[in-house]
This record gives sequence, structure tokens and C-alpha cells, in this order.
Amino acid sequence: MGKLIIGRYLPGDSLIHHLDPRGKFVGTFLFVLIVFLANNWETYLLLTAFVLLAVKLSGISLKFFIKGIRPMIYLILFTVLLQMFFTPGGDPFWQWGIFSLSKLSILNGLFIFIRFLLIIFISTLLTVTTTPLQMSDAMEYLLKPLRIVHFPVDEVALMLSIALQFIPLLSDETTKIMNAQRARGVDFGEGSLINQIKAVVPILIPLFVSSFNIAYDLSVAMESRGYHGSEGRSKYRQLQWQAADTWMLVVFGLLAVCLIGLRSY
Amino acid sequence: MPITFENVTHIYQSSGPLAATGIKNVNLTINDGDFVAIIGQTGSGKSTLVQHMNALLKPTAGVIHIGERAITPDSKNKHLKKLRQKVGMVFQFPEAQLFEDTVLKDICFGPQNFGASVTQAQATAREMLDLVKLPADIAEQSPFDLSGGQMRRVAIAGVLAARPQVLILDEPTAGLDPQAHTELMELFANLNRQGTTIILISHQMEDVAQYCNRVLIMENAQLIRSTTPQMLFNDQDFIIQHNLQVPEATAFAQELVQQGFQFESLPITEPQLVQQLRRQLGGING
Repeated sequence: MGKLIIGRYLPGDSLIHHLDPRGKFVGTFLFVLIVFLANNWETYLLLTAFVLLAVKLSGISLKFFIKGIRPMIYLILFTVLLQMFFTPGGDPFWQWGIFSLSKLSILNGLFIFIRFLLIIFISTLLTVTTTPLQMSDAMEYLLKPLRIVHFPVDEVALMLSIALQFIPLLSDETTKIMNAQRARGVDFGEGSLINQIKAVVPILIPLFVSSFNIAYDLSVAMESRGYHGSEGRSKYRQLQWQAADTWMLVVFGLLAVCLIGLRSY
Repeated sequence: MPITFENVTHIYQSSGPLAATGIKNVNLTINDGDFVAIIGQTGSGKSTLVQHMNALLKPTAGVIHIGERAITPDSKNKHLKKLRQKVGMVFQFPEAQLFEDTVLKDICFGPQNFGASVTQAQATAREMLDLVKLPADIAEQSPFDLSGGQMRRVAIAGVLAARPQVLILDEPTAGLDPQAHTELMELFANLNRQGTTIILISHQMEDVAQYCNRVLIMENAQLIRSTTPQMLFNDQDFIIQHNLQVPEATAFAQELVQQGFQFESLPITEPQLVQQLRRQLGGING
């Protein structure tokens, strides 16, 4: 896993860390929609400024974000290049078979590049400033309307929060098992493809077995502490919506309005 | 195969805001045939330290000499098999590493990785089953049908099957019943008598006192002292200062001292205690 930072939580004490996770969730979702409003230099400039400001407010260095994107950069560049070469129209100044380059297609590619970066930045910002537990609480709240169609919101929320809490545990377990098998002479990442796939078996089986054991122990422990299903439970962690959260959504609204304004300009 | 650490430091995720120091500036030497204990609080860096001894972790600074091999921060991860065959490692709760469909195959896994033929490996495996005191008819069973204690033995047999010259044990008896504990510790002591170097992470001071000839004390990622158990448990100021436990025999002797007894040096094991008391009481009586 190593360098990928999206999905990891960094403890901090900034304005963004203290925002209500529901607000952040909705905000991030809105932003992804808002990004598609942008269609010219001014709008992208505004969006970039907005994201940089948000990063600044989180108190986490920009360098850290940029580093976190590095593992994904090839994927992004690949998409951007495809977009550049295959955008029809404009006035091509270079053409070779189906490939063509025009001012329009280059500009288009650049915009898509920026769009990618902005979306990744903002979603990284969400996961970096929100603990997994807050995240699952927010999901639970936001999914509540689905109860009307008998969607098991509480069960899904429970599974989600258990899953999230066990990610670090299982990841430690994986490292431990890998090390134990290395000590017994397994080479990971060496040899032919077949051998590399074979080398996964001594990790996967113990990992599944310990997941079963953990699941069994956990369910017994839950039952013995009086868990009978999600109905009629009270909540210990209460989310609190504050003025700052409303303001944040207002800011997103303003951003959208400005973008719509700049768009037709 | 002696192991030497020269100014070894390891920092986890060394670049980035999550950097955490595992061990700092460690210097030590482990000689052939030693039975070394590593003690210290939880999180003091003991497990990080031992994972350097078979190159599962590489230092972020410093050099480690393991036999002929020198491991530096720039060392490549190639050709480590030979090293790992010679330095065996039993992790905490090693039963979590079992995966084959029979006990025999699982024990054979190590030797076969290190190049043994199937028949060779199976012969070794049966020998190992005997060594860890498991019945021979267990060989064809699935490791997942065994009890926790038996699984632990199978896992340890799997490590011993590679016939390591150095054996690293990270709390091998945690969670076992007293009888299994004693049996395993006797097994390790026996291996040590036959020439295997043993490195033991333990919180059981009785084991440290009874089996080890050297003890390393870790605190806050640093090696703060390297000494003998006898010296350590007699240094009461150090023990109190660093929140360490003493063996029961020593604790008992300390209480006797408060009642007016005198010891040349505090006994650290039960036989020593008995011997000293007998001498002193004998002196009074006769």
C-alpha cells in the first residue's frame, strides 16, 4: 500500500477537522458535481484557488497531498493523453491517422488534468481530516431516508463501522503473516508470474482463517454484551451540526453560483 | 553466526508526517551459543529490533553484520533466503501462519523453500513433530482442527525444520498453559545446549533468570543496557527506575532481606534461593 494517502486519516486540530462529517460528505459530493460546471480558464482558476484554500485551512502541507497523488499520476496522464489525441474538432495543426492535436484538444486535456487533480485533492482532504468512525456515522445519517424502502440502514452502518475499524488490524495481520512466511523462505515479488501468484496462497489462507476467527469472537462478544440487532438502540456518538457547517455548504453554493456566472461569461 | 549491530536506527515511514522511530542508535553483539533475553515495556522496540536480525527490516541508518552478510540501508532484498534459513524466527502467536492442508505439509513448507527435496523435508518434519512432543498420527490432520496449543507447536516445528543456527522467539509461550510453557522453554534450552543461538523476547522474568545468559533492556526505542540476569536483578535501583519486574525468587529474597537476612548476591532462581537459604540456615543450626 505504502505511499497512497487517500483513505488515510491524519490527526489534526484544524477548522476542517472539526467540521461535521455529514457536512464534509455532502460538500465533497457537491464539489464533484460542481467541478463539471467549469469550462474555461476563469472557472478552473477559481476552483483551484478554492481547493488550495481548503487544503491550507486543513493545516496539512500541500507537499503531502502532492506526494499522495504520485502513485496515481500515470493513470491520470494516460487518460489525459488519450483525451488530447482523440478529441475531434478544432483546427488540427498535427494529424496522423486517427490521432490529431489541436489547440482545443490540448486545452481540453489540460482541463481534464486539472479536474482530476481537484477531485482527488478534495476527496483526499475528506478522508485525511475525517476519522473512519465519523465517516460511517455520516453515512448512516445520510442513508436514513432509504429506510422507507426497507433498506437495512443500521445493519449496513454497523457492517461499515466494523469493516473500517478492522482495516488497520487486518493490515497489521497481513504484514505479520507476510513477514512470518518470508522468514520461512518465501520470496514475494520475485520469480515468474505463476510463482508470484503461488506465493500469495500462504498469506491469503491464514488471513481468511483469522478473519473467520475474529468474526466468530466478535459476534460472541457482541451477543454477550446484549446486542440483539439494530432495532431500538440508542447512540453514543452524536453528530453535532454547527454554524460553521452551514456556512461551509453556503460557501459551496456560492462557489456554484460564481461558476455558473463565469461560465456564460 | 554472530550478529553485530553498529549504530542501527530504524524509522517507520521515514518520509512523511507519520514517521515513527522504531529503534534508535542500537549497538550490540550476539555471540554464537548465547541465550539472550530482550526485555522492555510494550512498544519499546523489541520486535522491531529482532526483525532486523533476519533482514525482514532493513536499518534506516547503521550496519548489521549477520555472519558474513552486512545489511545496510542500501542492501538489496535479494539472496536473503540463505540468511533466513540460518536465522529462524518464531513470531508472536505463530499459529496464525499455518496454511497448508496437512500438518506435515505445513512443516515441510520452510525446508522446501530452502531447497530440500520432498522426501528429505518430510523426514525432517516427522523428526520435528517428535521434537515438539506432538503425536506422529497428527501429521496427516489439518492444522486448523488442532487445539491452540498444538497449533503453536506445529508452527514452531515449521520454523525449527529449517534447522536455523540462530533462533529468534518473540514471546513464544504467550497464552499457553504452565505445562506447555515449561515444555517449550525446555525445548529451547535443549536446542541452545546443542549450539543454537537463542534470542528470546519475554515478559516472564522467571524465564529470563532461569534460561538466559545475557539480557538486553530496551526502553523508548533505545537499548539502555546489556548485562547478565544476575547483575540486572541485583541492581535494585535500576529495576525500580525503569519499572522492571524481578523474578519471584528475587522478590522473596528481598523480603527476607527486610526481615534481617543477608545475601551475598540476590538469588534469581528458585534453586539458587533454596541453596543459599540452606547454607545460611544450616549455618545457624550447626
